[in-house]
Formats: sequence, C-alpha cells, structure tokens
Amino acid sequence: MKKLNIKAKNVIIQILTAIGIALIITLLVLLVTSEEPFYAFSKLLTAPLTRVRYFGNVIELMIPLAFAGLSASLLFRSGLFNMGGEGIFYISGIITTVLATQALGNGLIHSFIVILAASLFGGLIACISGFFKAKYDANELVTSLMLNTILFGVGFYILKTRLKDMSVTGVASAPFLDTAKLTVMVPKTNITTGFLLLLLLTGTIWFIYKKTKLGYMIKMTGINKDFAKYSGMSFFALTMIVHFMSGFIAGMGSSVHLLSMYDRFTWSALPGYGFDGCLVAMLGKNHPIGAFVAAFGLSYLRTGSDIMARSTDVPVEMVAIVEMALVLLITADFIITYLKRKKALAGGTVNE
Amino acid sequence: MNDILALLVTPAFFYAILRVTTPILFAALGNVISSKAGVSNIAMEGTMLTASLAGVLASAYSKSALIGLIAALLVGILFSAFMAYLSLYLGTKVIMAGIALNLFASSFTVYILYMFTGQKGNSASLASKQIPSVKLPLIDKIPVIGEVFSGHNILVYVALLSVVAIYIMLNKTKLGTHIKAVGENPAAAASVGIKVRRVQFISLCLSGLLAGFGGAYMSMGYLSMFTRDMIAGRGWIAIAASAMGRSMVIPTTITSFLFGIFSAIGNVLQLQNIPSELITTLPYVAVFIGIVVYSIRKSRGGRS
Repeated sequence: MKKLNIKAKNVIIQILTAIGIALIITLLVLLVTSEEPFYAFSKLLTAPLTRVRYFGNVIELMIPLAFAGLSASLLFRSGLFNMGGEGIFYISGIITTVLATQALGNGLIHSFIVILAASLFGGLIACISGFFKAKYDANELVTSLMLNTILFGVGFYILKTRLKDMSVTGVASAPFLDTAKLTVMVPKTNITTGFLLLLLLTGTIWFIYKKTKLGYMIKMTGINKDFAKYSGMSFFALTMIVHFMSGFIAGMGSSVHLLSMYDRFTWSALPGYGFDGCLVAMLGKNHPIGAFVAAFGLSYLRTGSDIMARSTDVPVEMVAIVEMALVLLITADFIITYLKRKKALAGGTVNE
Repeated sequence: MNDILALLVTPAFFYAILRVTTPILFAALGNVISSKAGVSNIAMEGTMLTASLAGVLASAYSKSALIGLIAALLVGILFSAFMAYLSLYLGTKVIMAGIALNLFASSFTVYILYMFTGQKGNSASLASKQIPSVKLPLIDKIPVIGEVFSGHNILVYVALLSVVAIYIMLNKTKLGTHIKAVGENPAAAASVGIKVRRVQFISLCLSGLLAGFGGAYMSMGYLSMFTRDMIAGRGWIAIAASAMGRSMVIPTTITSFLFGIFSAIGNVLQLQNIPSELITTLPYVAVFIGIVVYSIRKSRGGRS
C-alpha cells in the first residue's frame, strides 16, 4: 500500500509540474505574440468560471471528449494503437440521425433505442480493424485511419443523398424528434442526462480494470503482448473484445453528444472528437478516472481559449501549443525518473 | 465506362501518377529509414504539414523558392529532431509522440498561418514562390515518354533520385550498415561500439528531411500555396506503403506508386458524373485493402 502511495504521489507531482511548465510556456507565447498578454492569459484561465453558461459549455464539451478518451484509453491500455474513434463518431452520428428523426416510442425508450443502436454500430465498425489486427496482424493504426476517411465519405454521401432536409439551406438532416433528445438537467445550459451516462460508464470501466479478469488481462497485454497467450484468453478474443468496447463507447459518445447539443445533424467534416480522445487518453494516462479529469481539463482549456479568442487578438488555435506541452510532458517519464533518482540519492530505495 | 478507360490510358494520366506519387514516395522513404533503425517515424503527416507551411512563409518573405525549400527541409529536420529527443532521451514512446505531434501540427500550422496572414484557411494572400518545373533534354523529344516524364517539378526528379540515393546509403555505406544493425538488434550493435541512440537520432532526422521535401513539394509544387490540413492523409498512406514494402526501398517504392495510381484514378473520376464523396475515398480504400491483403498473405506465409 505504501508503495502505491509513492507511485500515486509521483504521478501527481509529475502532472502538477507538467501543468506548471505548460502554463509558463503559454505565458511566454502570449508575451511574444499578443498585445495584451496578461489580459489574454487571465481570460484563458478564469473566464469559464465567470458565468454559469460558460461553465455549462465546459461540461457540454467535456462529455464527448470524455467518451472519446475512454474509448481510446481502452485500446492504448491494451497496447493497440487505433485512432478509429474519429470515423466512428461520424458514422454513429449518421445512425443516430436515421433513428432520431423517426418516431420510435416515448421519451426514454426512444433515446435508449437510438443510443444503443449507435453504440452497437460503433462497436461493430471498430471490430473491422480489430478483426484484421487480431487474425492477420494488420497494422491497426493504418487501417483505422484509412477507415476514418472512408466512413466519412460514405456517411457524408448518405447524409447528402438520403437524409438531407431539402427545406433548409446547407447540408442538414431533418430535425431530431423531441422524444429522442436527452433531457436537460441544469437549467440555462445544455448539460443533459448524458452526463449521468458518462459517470456510469467511467465507473463501469474503472470497475472492469480494478475487479475483473478482463481488466487485468487488458493491462498485462498492454505491458507484454504474449501475456494473453499464456493466461487462458486468446489474443484474438481480447483484441476483438477491446475493439468492440472501444467502438461501443465512441458510438455512444457520438449519439449522446448529438442528442444533447444538436437539433439536426450538420457535420460536413470529421468532428475531431475521436482524435481529441487520443489526447485525452494520453493526458489521463490510460486510466478511466484520468480520462474523465483530462476531458474536463481539456474542455476547460478550450472553452477558456474560445472566450479569450473572442475578446483578445489571440486566435483560438493557440491552445494547441498548451495542449501539446501538456501531452508531451505527461507522456514523457523524465519527471518521474528525476523524482526517483532524487530519492535514490537521498538514500531511499528505488523500485523500477 | 469506355470513356473512363480512354481517360486512363493517356500520357496525361501517367504524368499525373508521377505527380501524385511524389509526396507519398518522399514520406514512405523517410519512414523506411527510420523503420530500419527500429524507430518507425509515424509523424510524417505532421512533419510534412509543418514543412509545407515553412516553405510557403520563407519563400514569400525571402522572394526565393530556394530559401523556401531550405526552410522546409530545416523545419522537417527540426520537427523530427524534436520527436527524436522526446522519445530517445525523455522516454516518450515514439508512437505516442508521433500521434501527439501529428495532432499538434494540424492546429499549430493554422495558428502560425493566422499570425502571419490573418487568415486561417490558406496562404493565398502571400506571394509565395514555386519550385520550378524542368523540361528534360532529349527525353522531352521522345513522343509519349517525353509527355509522361518531362516537364515535372524538380522535386519529382529529386524523389526518384532519392530512391537510388537511399538504396545506396542503406546498402553501401557505413551509416546504412549501422542503421540496419541498430534496427535488427540494438544490444548487439551497442556491444560492437555503435552508438545506438545517436544512429536512431540521425535516422529520424533523415526521415524528417525527406518529409521536408514532401512538404515543400505539396505547397510549392503540387499546389502554389499552403491550405489547412493540405497533406490530407498522404503521410499515413506513405506509412502503409512502407509497411507493405516491409521497409525495403524498392518494394516500398512500388507500393507508393500503386497507391499513387489509385489517387490519380480518383482524381480523374472526380471529373466524371460520380458522387465525389465516394470517389475521394478511393485511395484510402485501396490502402485498406492493400494492407489487409498483405497481412493475410504474410500470416499465411508464416504458417506454412
């Protein structure tokens, strides 16, 4: 137990150091590029707290990021480098649109059917890359990235030819029915019951990691690919299960996001949440609670930078520099190595 | 159908193949060098994107295409050196660093573009220079062959020459031998006095140099400006080509051309009356099928 505490303490010190360094870098960038660096800096950091609506925006954006992050972290944790969440977000959005525009029952049942169908479809799509990885060792990074573009092409084609509402200008589907949309929980915001679903999901994944054989296998396979072979579950089965779960979560994230925030389906490009999910997973060190916190942090930063961009001369893309500094400092283990070395020099034991 | 076929067997189509394969070939060769050293550089997409912006900006402000090219190459090398430093010295997994830097490059280039031009979509407002095209002497006079091979951007020929150069570098020079030794067995290489990390650092920088060429070609040859996310998956297609070519120079060149052919077909079909949403996915479908077929054959071959 003591050892675990030291490990957890090191991780927390590492993350705080990373945040500190990232903030210093941000300030330096602002000093060089902006006319009002300190005003921009304070907007970036404090603006989301100044109004209920702004903080609502943080939570609204956090939900898809957290779903995507949980989806990616499952794969990364098992040593699978798949970035297919992006395409699944799009194609599950199409499934959501098809079902949410038709009358399928009253409030709860309709939403339930739509989300379940989008999730299942996402899971099946993820199994395409998963199957070829598991059976033939096809590079899942490449196949999933190719699938992203293919799924977008097919989905956009369906949107334009089958789902488009001709009565509105621009590419948009028919409006989602009110029975399908999720219920708003916090007035004056768009925070819906989807947030409860996210909490439930984060808890479930945490439970799977902590208490089940599957969770243990996922972790061990991530450390050593041969482990699955010797532990009674085949690499094939594990890869398929993990891919299905990951696609399921991404599909769920897409439909929850659409049913919370949108009246119609209007995506005419890939939404980016799948790729952001990879960043969230890395920031959260492939841990479900880590992903939850990281999604909040990333969303806070993006909401802050959005408000900053509206009131200063700094473009919103500046946030990429902060995000990258954070991701690279958190995925690099030099801070932990430094902490361990310091402890060893002080006469403590080092457990690598 | 016959109309389409007629469009595909023209010299112009074969000319187009060379034109669209060039960036894929540069990036694929870059990935080959790094893979040989055991540190596959998957950040080709982001490296090319950053380099293409650097080329446009430098050429616009210096009024010289050559300085633009040099800037693109330098930025390509620096970008890869940064990744190499992270993964070799600070302990980030090279694949994680690659994923992160690819995502970073996408918004970072928009940020820099906005800083210089006030635009977020493209660099049309900058008078950036283009790397010139050349007519090959003698070959230019031969019918058909002249039409296919002559009159390309200089970098198209650089790409073809770099196939030869890299083949020689990997197989005939000391550096090439060291790279291969490090990739095959780092411990053994270290035991005979090869500095493993330094060799890996150099090969990552070389892959960045090639990505720099690819980026410069995209914004100063293929197009005449920088546009947001203009690499559009070519870096990933290149990595697929390198994987299917088993990181060997000649097979990787062949697969790069294979994917180039599908891209060129896609470009031709877009002009026909076929939904463009579906046609644009053609090269990606080809890569997907290619990778799957290759993996199936490899795993069958391994079993027998």
